[in-house]
Amino acid sequence: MFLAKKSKGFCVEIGEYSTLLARLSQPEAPFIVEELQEFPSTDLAAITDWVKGTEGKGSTGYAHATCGIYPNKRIIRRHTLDLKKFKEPAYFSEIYTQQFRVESEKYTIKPVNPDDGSDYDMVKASQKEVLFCGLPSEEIITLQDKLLEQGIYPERLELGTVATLGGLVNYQKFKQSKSPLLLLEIGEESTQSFILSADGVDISRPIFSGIAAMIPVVQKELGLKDEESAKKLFYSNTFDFTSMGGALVKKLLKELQSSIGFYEVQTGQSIGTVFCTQLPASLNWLSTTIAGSLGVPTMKMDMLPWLESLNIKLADGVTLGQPEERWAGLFSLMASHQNAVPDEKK
Amino acid sequence: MLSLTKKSDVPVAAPMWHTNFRNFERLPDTKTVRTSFFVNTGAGAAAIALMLWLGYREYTIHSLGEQIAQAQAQIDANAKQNTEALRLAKIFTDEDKKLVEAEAFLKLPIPVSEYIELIGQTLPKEISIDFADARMPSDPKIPMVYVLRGLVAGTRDQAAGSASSYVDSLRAHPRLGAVLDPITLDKLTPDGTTGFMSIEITLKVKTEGKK
Repeated sequence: MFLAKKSKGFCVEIGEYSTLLARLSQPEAPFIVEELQEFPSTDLAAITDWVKGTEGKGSTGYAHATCGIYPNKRIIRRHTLDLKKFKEPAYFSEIYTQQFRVESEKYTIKPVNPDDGSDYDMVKASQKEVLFCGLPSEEIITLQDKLLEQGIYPERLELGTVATLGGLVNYQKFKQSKSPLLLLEIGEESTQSFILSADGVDISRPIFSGIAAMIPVVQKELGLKDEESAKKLFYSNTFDFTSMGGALVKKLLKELQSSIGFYEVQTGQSIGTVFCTQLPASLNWLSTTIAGSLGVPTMKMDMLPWLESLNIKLADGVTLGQPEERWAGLFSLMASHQNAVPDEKK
Repeated sequence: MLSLTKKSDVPVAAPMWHTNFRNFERLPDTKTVRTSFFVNTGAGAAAIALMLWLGYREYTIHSLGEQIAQAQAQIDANAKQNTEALRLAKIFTDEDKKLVEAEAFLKLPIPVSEYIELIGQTLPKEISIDFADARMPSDPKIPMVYVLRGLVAGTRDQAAGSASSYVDSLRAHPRLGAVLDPITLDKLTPDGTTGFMSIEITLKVKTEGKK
């Protein structure tokens, strides 16, 4: 409208432990990141206060944002379709029920192409490989309502995992990296693992073991009386757990090694780097521990040049702090993937 | 331009790696001018228009009611005067009728006295008249009628012939025949008490057109 206030763009990544927010100069790229904020996901009051106080919300009173979410029951699974059965009406339901163990009618699931993240063409159905992305439909409504309560209007509600996968595939292209990357989203109860390269997502596998599975180990190793004390200590960042790191990630590592082994046999390629996201700041050391146990380095991102390639600039005074990689998910939500990246294979 | 429909998640090619899962139907309408505003404004305008129309109708009905009440009050006020006027009008009509009757009587083509005199002169000896009537209708267009009733002496055949001759003589009379037409023998019946024949003769005054 002629006299309406010009609204800015907002981007929100709601992780299990921390919520990252960005205020952008405008809703569409190219834009300048005017402000970056990080809050514990449990501190809803602080998030609401920031949203209330921030400028650029426009006439609606809401901060219109692209939102990335990480619901526990999310599904991001690469699957090989049987094209002969594709036309069968119940085929997809069968996949959801039998492969993903979810009730198809209670989930919103969308298929995308694992190589470029575009919508899977259900009419042509020419590709066998599909990346199914979804979450419980009820959870979409719950999350939307929660966002609205905080003054955030979701212009887009995306699975942060999918956006991050896209961002990292883009980054691999940007860096012209040939070696595959192991991405781990380590949550409280489960870990989402992916192997990806510049050509897309090659492997996805949920591992039903997360940080919670490490607590009994901490309790046992330190001889603590109850799990609650062990949990508090583990998250507190007051004790150096690196010495018992191997024991903590043993179970997770076992699962990961089987995936990596399978991948290496299938493709003949070895994992080049490991990248862990969604860890609380106090447990960032787990990333190094896991990478060390696997014998590969953690990925260090050249964030600013990559952002520049995505037509994203940081305003004066906006810094990323350390580790810069924790913003990868948020910037992946902003990425339009229109940046010209040399792609030798195409 | 402001759209009247909510911006929706119309399926367009989604940006790569950015699958949108939001449930648009469950989000509030955030357009600068909301659809509900137009709906509410339209509904409000319609309601106001309806109320104005109803108000106007009510006012008209009220106004008419007032006029009726005023007229009724005037009727009530004038009722006594009106009744008196009606009474006077009736008296006037009655009097007028008498005057008209008198006027008509005076304008008769043949005065009654002359009529009676001529009837007496022309009456044969075998016929006796015991009833003579002159009917003057109130409507001047209807001709005046004279009626004669009487008895005819003689046998039935003789009486019939006498009565018929008498009627013929009346028709042929220069004065009576000139002003009375038709003259008809309406009744010729035996009279039980006297044994004579009872007759009734009708003499109508000629209308203007017949003259």
